[in-house]
Amino acid sequence: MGKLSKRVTTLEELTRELKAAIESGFNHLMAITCVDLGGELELIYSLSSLDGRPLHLSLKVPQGSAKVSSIAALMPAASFYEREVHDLFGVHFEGNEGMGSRFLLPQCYPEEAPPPLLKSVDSAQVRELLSTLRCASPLPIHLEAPLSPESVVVPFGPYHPALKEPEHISLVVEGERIRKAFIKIGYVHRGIEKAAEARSFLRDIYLFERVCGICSTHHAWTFVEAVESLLGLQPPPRAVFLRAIVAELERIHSHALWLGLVGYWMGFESMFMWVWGLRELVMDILEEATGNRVHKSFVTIGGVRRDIPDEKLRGYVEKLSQLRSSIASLMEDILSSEQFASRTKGVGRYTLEQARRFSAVGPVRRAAGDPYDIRKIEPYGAYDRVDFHVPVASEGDVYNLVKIRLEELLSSVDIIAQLVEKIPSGNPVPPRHFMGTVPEGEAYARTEAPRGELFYYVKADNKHNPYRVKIRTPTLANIQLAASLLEGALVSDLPLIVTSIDPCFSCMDRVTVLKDGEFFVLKLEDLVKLARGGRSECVH
Amino acid sequence: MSAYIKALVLGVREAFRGRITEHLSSAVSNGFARGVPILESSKCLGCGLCSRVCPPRAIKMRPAGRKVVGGREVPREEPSFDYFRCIYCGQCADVCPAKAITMDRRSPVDVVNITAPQVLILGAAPQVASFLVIAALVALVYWLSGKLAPRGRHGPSAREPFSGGVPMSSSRYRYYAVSLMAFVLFLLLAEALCFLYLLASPNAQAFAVLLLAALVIYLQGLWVSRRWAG
Repeated sequence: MGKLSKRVTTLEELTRELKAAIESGFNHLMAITCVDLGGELELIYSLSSLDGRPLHLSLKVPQGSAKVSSIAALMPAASFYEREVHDLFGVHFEGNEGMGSRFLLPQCYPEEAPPPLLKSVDSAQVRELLSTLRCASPLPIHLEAPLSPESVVVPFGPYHPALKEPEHISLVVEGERIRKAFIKIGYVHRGIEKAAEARSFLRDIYLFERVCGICSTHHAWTFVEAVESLLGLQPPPRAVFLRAIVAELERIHSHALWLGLVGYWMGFESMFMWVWGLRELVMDILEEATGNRVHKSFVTIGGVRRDIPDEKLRGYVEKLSQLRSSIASLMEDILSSEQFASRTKGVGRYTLEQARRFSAVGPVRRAAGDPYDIRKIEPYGAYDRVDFHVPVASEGDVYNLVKIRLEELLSSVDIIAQLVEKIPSGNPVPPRHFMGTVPEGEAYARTEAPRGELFYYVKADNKHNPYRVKIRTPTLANIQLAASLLEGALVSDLPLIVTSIDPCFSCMDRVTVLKDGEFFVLKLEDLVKLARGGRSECVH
Repeated sequence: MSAYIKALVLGVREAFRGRITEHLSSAVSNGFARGVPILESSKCLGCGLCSRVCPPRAIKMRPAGRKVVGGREVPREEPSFDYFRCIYCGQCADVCPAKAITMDRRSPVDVVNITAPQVLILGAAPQVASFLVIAALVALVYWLSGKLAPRGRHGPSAREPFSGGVPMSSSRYRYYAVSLMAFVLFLLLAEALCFLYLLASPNAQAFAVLLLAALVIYLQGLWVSRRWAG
């Protein structure tokens, strides 16, 4: 958290430096950020140690035919991050297997076309190019796979009843066993990072809230945290507490939502009903506290948007203590149920070694054994003033993931009770909303979103709008692990395994509709036009 | 069999009692919803801060009369909200220095109905909107065909667009009735006007007018059918 202090490295030194960093304990790759400095690109490898110390390696490469050696062999987690940079900035990573195909952009996006996130590229230009491409025609998705005569390639998605959001997984199947899984993401990628560069900081908060509907406060908070450290702004203590309270409420609602979905995918629909019924209580509290159920719009630069009176907060704690006892009894019921245990124990099993290799975050990491919780290791907001326990398990599987998330639900309720007890008085609402410029500099922030570590990088250059914002959502870190878990699993376990990491594909792709760097609402006619266009494409 | 009858009775009873589902406004009437931005024009300074901060750019500044600044008259601007773009975040009300924008705790749907004149067709249900458009088109075709029809020694069918130039035959004559055409045209227009009135001001008076129009249509229909049969 805070301003970025980078260690400069060179192309030749990179691998050696990374090896040294890993040996000295920085073995978690947070993100690979690419920034267009005009003429040259800066690659920032953000690493973290398990006790929360950050290390940022900066590497400058010329724009255009930039070639960097891939670090995917050292850190498998880097594979997807490198492919993202390749798509959006055109940097070629030598040694990364995915360089030949597209990752976030549509498969038909030509290799020679300008990478969309370069400063010289106008978003209208990209849109025009995309409109001329024949992306809607059914492209055969070819994946090179070691096929034995018995194996069959089963396409799964992008539109599939078992997926709530569009994502494509190509499965190489032998009988009922999955031998290999290839993931193609980006079906809802709309270039939110580019859109953010054209809007003011205050308007960006609302934009980033819409990256994810479930952890909207965490997105806003992480962005605001980075901007506040650039401004050198200290939010009022009451605001810091209120942010943490709303964030914990969001965690409860997110975990409850996930728990219901897991029940749904394993065929335990009563669990889905119970848990979502309990969740409604939290949603009502959120609506009462912030005015909205989903996009809370609560956090703003320099504080929060509205105060919550103390007596109301105490009322919430009382309601939540009822929720806590229902969750505790639910936990007892679920975890001791024979059917539940046999459906989840040993399904999607992974070791701590695997979780570390793929830089898994959040509950997925903690289920494997690392107490890797940003609230604990790099406390932000009011988390250093509360005493809580980070639940861990010894081995990752669906059973342990459910157990850990249930324990986190309980610990979130306890955290809220402590926060309400300790909350200082004062005015948490800033006297005026921030509409000025942000001084030159770069900062990063990370928070523990319900799904895991959420990373934001913000670079400002004395303007009203950010120069560059990089988002790394928890799902992008976890999905690689999920893809490797599918290998060897049964086809019928697929929805359960994919759901077990609590994926948010749209977060991963970062969806919004972009037009000339402006927000653009699709009208009915546009949708009709799109639908007609798509159909005529198919007829051709 | 008795179960079917029970279900039928229940259905009929429910039809008179009103809908079982909750009205949308009940979702926002709990007093917690953030509400809808409403401008109090007399307080507005015309500074334009709201349109600058609006995240989805749903606020446009429109000219609204003149104001006196330092003894001189200058044009005044006022925000206008696009409620279809609005994300109802309330940021405009937060930044307004004159507190001219308030968040009214109502359903956005209700507010969109208030601003009916500019969004009448869009805001109406699709069936109603398409009905109005079709009614207007039919009326236009009739009016045009009346204007374009050649004058002189022509049968009455020349004024009629669908059977215009076709020679009259005894078999077709059975289906030709000017009064019926006029009746249909009147029905469409009257109904369209009544719907417009009802949409613009949904009150008892408009409803009474609708009923009256329906009665007139009914009586005219009776008269036409009697004449046609005779």
